[in-house]
Amino acid sequence: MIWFWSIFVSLVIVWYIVITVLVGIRGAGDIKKLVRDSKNSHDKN
Amino acid sequence: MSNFNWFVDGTIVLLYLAGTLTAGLYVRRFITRLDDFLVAGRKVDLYLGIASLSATEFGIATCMANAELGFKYGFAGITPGIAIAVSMLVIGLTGFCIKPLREQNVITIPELFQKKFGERVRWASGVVIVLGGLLNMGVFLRQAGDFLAVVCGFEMSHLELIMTIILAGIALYTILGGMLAVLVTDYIQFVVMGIGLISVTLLIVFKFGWGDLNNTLQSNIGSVAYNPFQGGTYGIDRILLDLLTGFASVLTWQTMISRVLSAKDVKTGQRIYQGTSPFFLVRFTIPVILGIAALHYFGPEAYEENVKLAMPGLLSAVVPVGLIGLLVASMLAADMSTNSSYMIAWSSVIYNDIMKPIHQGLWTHAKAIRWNRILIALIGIFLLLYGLWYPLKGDLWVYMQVTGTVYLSSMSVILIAACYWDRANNWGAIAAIIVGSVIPIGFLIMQQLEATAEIAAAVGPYKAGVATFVFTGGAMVIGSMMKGKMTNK
Repeated sequence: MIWFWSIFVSLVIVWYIVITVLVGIRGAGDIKKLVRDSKNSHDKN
Repeated sequence: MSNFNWFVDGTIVLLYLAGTLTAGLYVRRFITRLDDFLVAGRKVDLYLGIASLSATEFGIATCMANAELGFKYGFAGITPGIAIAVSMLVIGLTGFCIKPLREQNVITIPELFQKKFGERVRWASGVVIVLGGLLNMGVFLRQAGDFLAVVCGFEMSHLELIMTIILAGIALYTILGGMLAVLVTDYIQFVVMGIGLISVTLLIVFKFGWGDLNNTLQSNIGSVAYNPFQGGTYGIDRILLDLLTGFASVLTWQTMISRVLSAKDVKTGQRIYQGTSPFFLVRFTIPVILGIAALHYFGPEAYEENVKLAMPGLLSAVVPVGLIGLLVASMLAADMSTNSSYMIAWSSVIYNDIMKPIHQGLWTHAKAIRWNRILIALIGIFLLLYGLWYPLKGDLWVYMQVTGTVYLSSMSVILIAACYWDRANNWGAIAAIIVGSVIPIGFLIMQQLEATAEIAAAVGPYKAGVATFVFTGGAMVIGSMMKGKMTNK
């Protein structure tokens, strides 16, 4: 079973590195859009 | 002796705190409607949703609880993470329950229940959710205080002060900025947390060596460290409870489901679940590795009386200056995102469902937001008081599972029935709420009383938890059928 957990842990850490970078980049765009939309609806009200 | 250096590491932590607070406070000016405050105007997109959900569900308490599982059970301790990850992926792909829930444009789950079961079920569900949620969250602060005290080398006598300062900072931006501030800070916290956790995990694995960590497991725990099904260490009843609570929490845990409800549409809500599901493997894998490393470094006896402190003890001893500052910032990030999301989740249920008979949905947005802010402040005070006096017995993860079961069992059963069973009615829902609350709360009380502590230990939390789910499902079916028969007569 050691080989199973070794592969499992490696995949989980690689996935975490990839998703941290991906969400770090793409999430910034989402934040900007969310704040802009909130600002627009606030100005309308 | 901690490696934490107040000049180098303290500056890193202060920079992080200043950045988060500034961002959280900046967005408060855009809050005008109750929807903005509680569900960020339902404008959340995919990547922000993944960041927010991931950051929310990883706090210091979770990290300590899961490291404890690693220390005691080795890799078998990752089992709950696999259960939650698979549940979230399946629910995200199929839209099971979350699709009808998001389509109804509700803020909380009890709001949906009112449409099917009436106002009383909505109110009772709100009470159960808040009760279970607050009991569950009650231990977060103490764990955070313990962690920071050990890692930064504070005196344990300063614990209360540390806990108060942490809470005050979180409450400030949550009270002022609501869900919008929570989402923006969650994003920062996700990134900081990711950098810190990945760096520290790689450092630990390379420092001790993968082979040596496995040798420690073999010699201290044996082959059961790799196989949860083998022997009595982890056990089938515990695996079954992991599966049930994993599935139920993905369906109904307010902090998780609020991300689906805040999503810009149904499809995005489902994709947030699909994208976040592997994070639940991370949530367990990284702390379990840290727990195994603590076992390797200290041996099984050093922290026999308080295993939870083994992981922070390890980090304070082996993580070097500079990186330990990043680690503390990342763990603070993890904890702040969790606490802020939890506070707003329970306040939304108190206002939206428990206080519904008082405001009838007629209050102005300004008054509603003011009341939600008061509720968040009151939840903060409760957390401070509860965190100080509740003496935790047994595994931290088990405590969180048992308190979570107070509402996970009944709410998941009622939600499934509300979405997919035409014959379900309010009798069944009330019966499910009663049964789902009585068993876990009774178990917690039995654990605390001297006269019943032995019986509670003999039954064990896993069988009690599984029984709660089974009996709650039975209560829903029997209650609904009884009303059906009475009506036919």
